[in-house]
Amino acid sequence: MAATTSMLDAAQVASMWVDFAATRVGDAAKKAESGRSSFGTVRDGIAAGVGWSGTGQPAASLIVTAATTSMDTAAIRLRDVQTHLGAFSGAMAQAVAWWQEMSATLDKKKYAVADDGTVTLVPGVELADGDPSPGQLTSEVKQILSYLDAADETLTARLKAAVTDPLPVVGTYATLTLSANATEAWLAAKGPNAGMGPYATNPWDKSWTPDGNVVSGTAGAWDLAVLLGAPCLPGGVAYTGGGFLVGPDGKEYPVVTPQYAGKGGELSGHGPGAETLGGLDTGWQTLATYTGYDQLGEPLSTAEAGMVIAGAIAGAQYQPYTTVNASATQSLVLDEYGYPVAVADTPPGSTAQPPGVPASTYTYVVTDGKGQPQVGSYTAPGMPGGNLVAVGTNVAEGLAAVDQADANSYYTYQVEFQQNTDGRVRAIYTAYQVIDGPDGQYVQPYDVHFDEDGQMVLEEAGWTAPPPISEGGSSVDVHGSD
Amino acid sequence: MASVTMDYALVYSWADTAHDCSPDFDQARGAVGLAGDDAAGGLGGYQSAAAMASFVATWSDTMLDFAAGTLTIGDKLKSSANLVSASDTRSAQEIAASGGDSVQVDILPDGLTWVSGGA
Repeated sequence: MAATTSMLDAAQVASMWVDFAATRVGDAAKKAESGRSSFGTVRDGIAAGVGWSGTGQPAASLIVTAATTSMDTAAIRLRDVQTHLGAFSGAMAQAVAWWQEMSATLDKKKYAVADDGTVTLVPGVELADGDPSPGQLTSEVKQILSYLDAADETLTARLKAAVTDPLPVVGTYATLTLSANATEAWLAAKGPNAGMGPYATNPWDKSWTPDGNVVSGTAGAWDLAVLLGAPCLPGGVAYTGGGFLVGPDGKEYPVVTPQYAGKGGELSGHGPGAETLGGLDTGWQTLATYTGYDQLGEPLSTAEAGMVIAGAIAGAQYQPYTTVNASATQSLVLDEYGYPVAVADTPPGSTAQPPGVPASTYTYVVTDGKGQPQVGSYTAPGMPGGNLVAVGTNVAEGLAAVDQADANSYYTYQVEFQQNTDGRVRAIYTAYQVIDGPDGQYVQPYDVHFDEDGQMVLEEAGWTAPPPISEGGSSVDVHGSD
Repeated sequence: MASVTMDYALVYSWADTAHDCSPDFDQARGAVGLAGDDAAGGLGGYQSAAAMASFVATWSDTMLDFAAGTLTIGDKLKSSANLVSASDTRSAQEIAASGGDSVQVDILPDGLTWVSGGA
């Protein structure tokens, strides 16, 4: 059923009751954890086979081990549900805050709000200049209602998973499937953290790259994924970003950049303290970090490349003020906070080859010195039958220009997949290029996210406390680092 | 005839510990029920109300199973230790001298306890 304004009116009190329920489930989890902790000593003793060996011990060991696994599963599930209820309570409180703010400024003598969120003009009233239209206000109210609906749907799905996923069972008979069933339930409860646990398999795809794993999403979907369950943060402290990455574990992670004002007030997404917003949003742990070198931006189209070459043939100068150094970009060394500290002497392994000369056949049209059009074509070098046309020098310059322009779309990247103890997940995606400029070489780091069309958006990245340049290669300057 | 080596005093202590876990799960069951009562006050009109009710019913049963299961496991540990204790032919002096360490006994399987071949 869809949320209504009546529900918004009652949501403040309702939020309190849901919060109480979350506390109760937390109490249940605490008791399950206490029981598991005590029972663990029984499991440890029997499984060790020291105080008991021979007949009966294997069966007893199997049963108490499976029971302990099931108790772990129960505690995880109950903690998860506590978190989910707390998150929903938070979402209700957020919706109430928006609704109250809007209601306070809504002139009740002019507008009437129906229970489904539709706003109409009170009969006989006319809008003055600057008054919002009923349509605008309806849209605003319905956004609040749809936020509440989305949170409700999320909670519903999470509660259903806690009931329909494999459930923990304490068996008292040593059946063949007891251990497998207990482990299956534990894996389902543990989710993406399963790779780090005692009963775990490793579901993470080691060959993962960002390519092909971008999922666009509306700002509302991103907000919900990032903020649902987040603590209330003071003004000016927030996350930016957009879009989602399908992680190496197959789950969707919202792409996020923390915005933490460290010393000096500059907003930084990286470095000590940044990922927890200075301790305001704790509980994050990195599940996996993937780094590589790949083409992240759009390559030049054939037409664009042809234009660059045609320009060179026509005598246009392609002398960019700065150029991307592909080799150095590929050789960047990052520290634990993702800060570029050096360019390695030997490039590390990468997930893609650096850009080469495009192997395409181009057609160009230029005007000769007498004003007559000339049409030509060539196949880029490196391909059999390469056929550079007469204006060789300029074509070579054009090819170099195309090569350089293509290099601009290659980056070293780092993606950190993180999960909070309250269940939220996120990906922090950073890209880097080494730039050769008139004043020397420097590194340009970017925070990466995606717009609603799935297009990559790059914003200059910042660190709270850039470390000193380390050894191990040529040191580099970093732009936008403080 | 089956052979078992057991420090039955130790197994008795494990049985007691398993029994002692049961109230934790009973209390967990109670807390889940109370969560259901509180949630009913807050989720009226929301679709998650039904899912919450289902969660409470399922997990109350699960916690009940855990409470009963730990008692049963404790009982089976105790009865297994009883069998070994009853088969221990050492004198009190010999047991004291051994410091309560494990004893090896031969048991006739009857399938009633783990020690006697039960599952």
